[in-house]
Amino acid sequence: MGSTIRATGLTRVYRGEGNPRPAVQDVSLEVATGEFVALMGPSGCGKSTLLNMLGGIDRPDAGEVWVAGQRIDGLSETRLALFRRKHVGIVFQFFNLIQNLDVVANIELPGLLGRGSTAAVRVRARELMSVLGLSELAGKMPGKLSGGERQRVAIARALINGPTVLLADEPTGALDQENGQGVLRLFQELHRDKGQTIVMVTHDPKVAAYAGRILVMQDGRLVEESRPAEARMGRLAARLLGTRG
Amino acid sequence: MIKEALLGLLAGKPMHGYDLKVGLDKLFGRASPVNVGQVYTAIAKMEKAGLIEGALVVRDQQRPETKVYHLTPAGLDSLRQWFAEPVERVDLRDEFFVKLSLAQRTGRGDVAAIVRAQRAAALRDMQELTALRERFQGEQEVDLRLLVEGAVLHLEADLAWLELWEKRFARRGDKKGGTSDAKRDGLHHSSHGSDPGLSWGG
Ligand SMILES: Nc1ncnc2c1ncn2[C@@H]1O[C@H](COP(=O)(O)OP(=O)(O)O)[C@@H](O)[C@H]1O
Ligand SMILES: [Mg+2]
Repeated sequence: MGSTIRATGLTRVYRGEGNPRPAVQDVSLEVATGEFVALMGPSGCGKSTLLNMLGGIDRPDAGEVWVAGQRIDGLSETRLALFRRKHVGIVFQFFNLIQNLDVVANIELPGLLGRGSTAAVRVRARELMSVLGLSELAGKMPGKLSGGERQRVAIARALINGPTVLLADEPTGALDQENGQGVLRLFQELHRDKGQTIVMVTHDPKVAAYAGRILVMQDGRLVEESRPAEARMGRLAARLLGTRG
Repeated sequence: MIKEALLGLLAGKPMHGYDLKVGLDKLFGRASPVNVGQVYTAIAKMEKAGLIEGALVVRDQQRPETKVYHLTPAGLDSLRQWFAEPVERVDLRDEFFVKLSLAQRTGRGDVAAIVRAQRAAALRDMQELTALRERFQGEQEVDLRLLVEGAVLHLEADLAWLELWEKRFARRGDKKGGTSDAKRDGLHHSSHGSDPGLSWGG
């Protein structure tokens, strides 16, 4: 399995008043195709800054970012915008839907801005709405939706162009526990059933635990990573259910 | 807890020894398997103390008669008393604390690495518990789901605790220029002069 994202030596310094301590410092990472990775760490440790560089929203001061085999950190603004439209879907904590467009129109919009045919975009929007349980809501305005529904619309919109990678920045941050779990289950399904590559940022270990691999950040650096080792996985289930003796 | 669990099982209905063992295994979720010997020892003690009584019952002609146990009024009292008492949840004799104390004091362990390893393990457990919780979504599994949810909340607290340790060592690391204890792995137990390491009293 190849890697969808490869970053080496990423550093980002926000210039301004005070000392320019890097928000992200010498971070290298790889995300394999089809992987679901969580980036976890306390508030202010640099998660969003890192995610934005991986998605071509922000540029590193040093280091390289490769996505889908293409180096993106040196691209011009125009080419970067094209790159993002094709390869990156993004979901934020606050859903950023367009208030005077209904659900379908919100989902279709990024597709219609691209070069795909209108008919194909329509078909894909229906598919996504069905997968995400939004079919009933097609004609509703965002203002009439619950938080969980709005986030599902935002996810559908992020997926309309079939992005190489789905990036999510605190996607459950504005949701109650039940709706948050709904979104996380959806990510697991997209990852498991559709092979969607996902990178999710969160400060909450309970949220990060839905991912297959957890990268821990601290003060702008990656300090460790954790994936459920085969030998260890199933240990608690065995203790609870006696499945292995 | 075995004694109390046995009293509780017998409060439901009279049972013989083997059924009691099976009942315990179900209750404890095989978290700490109870062996048959332990069960019979407990039963004998409780019978002697007058908390339960056994009566010989013939099940069928082929097999020897077995003893079926039931609760006495004293046993029911003892069970009620246990129900009324809160369970002790606070444990201040923590193995992780002991480990960190000794790592610091002896200079033989890298405290930062110890915290990291603990967190990596906690995160893996969190991943597994999350998967388990997703499995227990049915109506009949509500109790198991709550059991797992409780473990998740404890683990969340552990992770927050590890962050406090990390901050403590980061502060000290800044002062000392960030060297780790393991790097000064001398033969004599280095004294660490200004910082005696954590421990009660001293
Ligand atoms: N646009 C910005 N200008 C200046 N400083 C910023 C900006 N964005 C973030 N920072 C700083 O960079 C650090 C990392 O921020 P961020 O990546 O948002 O962290 P996180 O997402 O983990 O909470 C913080 O100290 C934050 O204050
Ligand atoms: Mg952030």
